[in-house]
Formats: sequence, C-alpha cells, structure tokens
Amino acid sequence: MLRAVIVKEFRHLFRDRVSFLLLFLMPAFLVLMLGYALSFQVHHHDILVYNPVHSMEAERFFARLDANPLLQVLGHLERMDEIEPAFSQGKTRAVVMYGDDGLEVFIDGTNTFTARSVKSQIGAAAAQFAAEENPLAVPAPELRIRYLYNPSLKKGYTSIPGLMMLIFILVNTIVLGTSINREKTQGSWRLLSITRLGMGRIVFGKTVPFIAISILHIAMLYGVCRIFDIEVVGSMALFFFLQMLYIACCMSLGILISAWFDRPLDVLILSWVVLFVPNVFLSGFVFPLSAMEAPVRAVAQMLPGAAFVDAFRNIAFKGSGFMGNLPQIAILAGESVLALLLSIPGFKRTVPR
Amino acid sequence: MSTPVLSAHEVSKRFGSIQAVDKLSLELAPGEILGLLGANGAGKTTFIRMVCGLIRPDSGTVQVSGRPGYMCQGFSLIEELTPEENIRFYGALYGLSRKETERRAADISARLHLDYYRGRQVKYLPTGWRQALSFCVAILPDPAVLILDEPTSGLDSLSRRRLWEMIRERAAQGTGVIVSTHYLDEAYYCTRLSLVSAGRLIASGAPREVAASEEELLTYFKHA
Repeated sequence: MLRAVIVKEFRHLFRDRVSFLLLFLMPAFLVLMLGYALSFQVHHHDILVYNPVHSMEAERFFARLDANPLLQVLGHLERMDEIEPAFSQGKTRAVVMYGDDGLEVFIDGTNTFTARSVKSQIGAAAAQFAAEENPLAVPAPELRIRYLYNPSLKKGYTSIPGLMMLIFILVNTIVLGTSINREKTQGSWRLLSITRLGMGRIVFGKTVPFIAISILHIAMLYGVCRIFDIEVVGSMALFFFLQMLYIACCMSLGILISAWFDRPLDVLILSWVVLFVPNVFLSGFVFPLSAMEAPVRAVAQMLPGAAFVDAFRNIAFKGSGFMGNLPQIAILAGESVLALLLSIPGFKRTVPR
Repeated sequence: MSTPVLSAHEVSKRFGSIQAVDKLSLELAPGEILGLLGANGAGKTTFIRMVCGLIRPDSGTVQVSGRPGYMCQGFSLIEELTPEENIRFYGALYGLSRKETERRAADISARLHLDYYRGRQVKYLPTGWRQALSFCVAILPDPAVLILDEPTSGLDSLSRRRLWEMIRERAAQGTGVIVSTHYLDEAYYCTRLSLVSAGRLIASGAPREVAASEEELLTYFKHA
C-alpha cells in the first residue's frame, strides 16, 4: 500500500510543471547563482582618470591603478567639467584626479557597497604606489575622497531603488497575475468574454486599480525619500515616467504568465520563481552587477529590475536625462511590448476549461 | 418552423487527437427550449462555447440573432460582489441604462427574495440562489437566444424546479433557449431534444418522440 502512495507521489511531482520547476530548476538556479555567478567580491571597477597638470608621476600612478586586477582604467578625462557627465551617464564608478595638491577621488555614492569597495582599492593602490615611489617613507600623497550624489553614504540610496523594484513586481506582476488568473478559472471570465468589451479592455480594466495603487506607492516613495533626507535631483517628470514604464513592464509580465497558466497557484509560484527571485539576486540590488561573471551580468542587465534600478539611480540621484538612460528605457519598453504580444495567443488558446 | 434565432451548420472542433464536436448541425426557433443531452465529455460544452463565440470552430458555421445570453457551467458571477453589484456590473457591460439596471435589480431581488442576502457577497449565497441569480443576469440584455450550460448541476430538486420555471417563463416570452444537461429527467422539460454522443448528433426531436421514458433515453447513450 505504501508503495502505491510513493509511486503516485513520484508521478504527481513529475507531471506537475510547477512542482518540477520548484524541485529541479529552482535549486539548479540557486546553486548556479550563489555557487558560481554571485559574489560580494567585485571583479573590477571601471574608473576614469584625470591628470590636470600632465605629470609623469600621475601617469605612473594611473598605470599602477590599471595593473590592479580589480580596477580598470577606461580612459582619461581632459577637463574638470567632464567629471560630472561621466557619472550621470553611468560611464564610471570613480574618477581619480592626480593634481598638484595630491590625489582626489570622486566616487559614485549611490551604491554604498561599490563605493566603499572602490575607495578601498584606490586607497590600497595609492599606499602601494607611495611606498614604491618613495622608499624613504616620505608621507604618501594626501588622498581626498568625495562621494558624489550621496556624500554621507546613506544606505537608503542603495536600498530604496531595489525595494521599489520589488514592490512593483509584487503588486503589478504577482497580485495582478493571480487576479487575472483567478477570474479566468471562474466562469466570470467567459461571461465577460461574450460581452462587447473584448479581451483587451477586460485586461486593461483589471489593471487600472493596480495603476492607482502603484501611484500611491510612488507617492509613498517620495515621502520616504523626504523622511530619510534622500534628495531626488533629477527631472521629476522623467522619474515618474520611468516608474510608470517599469510598472507597465511588470504588469505585462504578470499578464503574460496569467495568460499561459491556468491555475492561480501556478501563476503565484511562477511569478516568484521566474521574476521575483532572479530580480532580487541579479538586479544589482543585493549583489553588485560588477561582481557577477560576464555571461551572468549580460543576462542580468536584460532583467527589468536591473534596468529599473540602474535608471532609477541615474535619474533620481544623478540627474541623468532621457538619452542617458535610453538603453534601460528601451529594455523596459521592449519587454513590455513583447510580453503583451506573447500573451495574446495565451488568452486565445482554445483549450476547453 | 419560424425563422430560427440560432443556426449551426456542420460545426466541428478538434482538440489534439480528440474530436470534441463532429459536424453538428441544429437550429433553434424563437420560444423553443432545446435540450442538449449527453454524457460528460460528449461535446455539449464545446458546442455551446462555439455558439457563444468563445471558441472558433475548425469548420462549419454558426449564426445567432444578436448576442446570446449565457450561463456557463459552474458559477459565473463575480463572487466578491453582492447580488446588486453583480447586476449593476453586468447591466453596465450589456449597455443598459442606470435606471433600467436599477429597475431590473429591484425585479430580480423581489423575484428571488434576495432581501435576506442584501449586502452579502454572492460567494456566501446558497448554490440554488447563486444559479438563479446567474440566470437573471444572463437574461439582463433581453437576448433572443439564451444558452444555459448545465445550469442545474449540483442543485437540489427544489432549486432545479424553480430554475426550470424561470427558463420556461422566459421561453414563453419568445426567447430561444438551449439547455445542456446530463439529467435525463430534465429532458422532458424541453420542447425539443438533441442527443449528443462523441461530438455527434445521434437523435433529435420532441422528447416523447425521441424516447418515451428515461430508461429508453438511456439506451441511446449505452449504444452510442
């Protein structure tokens, strides 16, 4: 008798797509991510250098920086006023200026983890350089650090974009997806389908309350920023546009999952497994993107969460404009459209239910 | 026969290797109650969904006068709304004016004695009331064709009888009704029967012409 139960359970688990996903694909994903791809150890920081007095000493120091496996010198800046755009356009995490009055390092403070990491690497390189150049132990050049956008390295600058990214997935993908799916499994979906509304308007009608709730969450975000003294310096209109675009992307993905799966529980589990968990790990919110292996980073950068977090920091904290965030905006818009297009055949399936 | 309000000609539908409906043809006259009788999986629901436009047939044609009223298998209203809210919601979707919807809501409430359940979400209503309410919502747009997919499934005999009274009353007003059922006794409430087996029409006619008794009716399916 027990044998029958065990055999039945094996069959049950292997034939249920969602159980199969949780039993095999999810552990494989976690092992791959936490065992191989993800690390708090940043592989390298992209930095720019500036040598205002064109000194040979500065160039030797820059060569020393470039020799550090954790730092990569992307190029030289020619003028002081190129520093700010280099950050706002997301070209670099740090700019090292070696002038007459010593070393000055500008570091992007919006991600406190990488800011501290890059500071420690440059500091170590400076100390080593001083020891090599100056064997008589004359004091090393003074190292002055300036954290841009987040001078006191408040952790809110790092956590708030990630939290908003996850809240929007929770509301607009998971709750919306299960809500649509619950209706699909009830007779009300069929009854609605034969009215003059049409599928598109039914789905749109269902999204409107979620849009309203998300706008409430955006208002809460502004409140939180004020409470924690986090300054939004960029265009509020562009910032709002980014959030609405990301909300649309989350909704489209929720609609896509609900279109192709027939049980609310499937939608719930799948949303967590396929969207929520990967975005926690791979969006740069918990683990820095620069700490990921190159192939994983390439995939991670295509995730809506990563695009959102990146553009959020650029627009809100660095004051970056539309063109500076075009790749992220293109990813969010493209994935929204693709998800909606793929959901159409899912809703039109002629499987009797 | 007067001009049919519904006409299906050689309608077929296949799902993978299963031929759910196979060249099924039938017509429905105004005021007629057509019983679509068959065992579970006979193809009744698939045929009904094609008539409603929910599924596209692989071949054949379906013509319906206007949009049909539809009561699907299982409960079809929004469970988290009250009866009045459901009526107002579907009234709006069917394009009824606010005044007309309120009038209908009052009529339905009086008819079904819903006062006792006023303000309660429909998921807390007894099954018989829920099905009766679904029926009332299905006829909200005054359809020329009413399609009822196993409307009495799971109902006690009293609730079944009450629902059948409502169906016959509606048919008396000129609405053509298709009722699918697997209850043999309900066959004799219909004005005409169409027996479906493996997606095919195996017999059609007045109930007593098709089978004099439920036992005789059963033999159709045993030998189909």
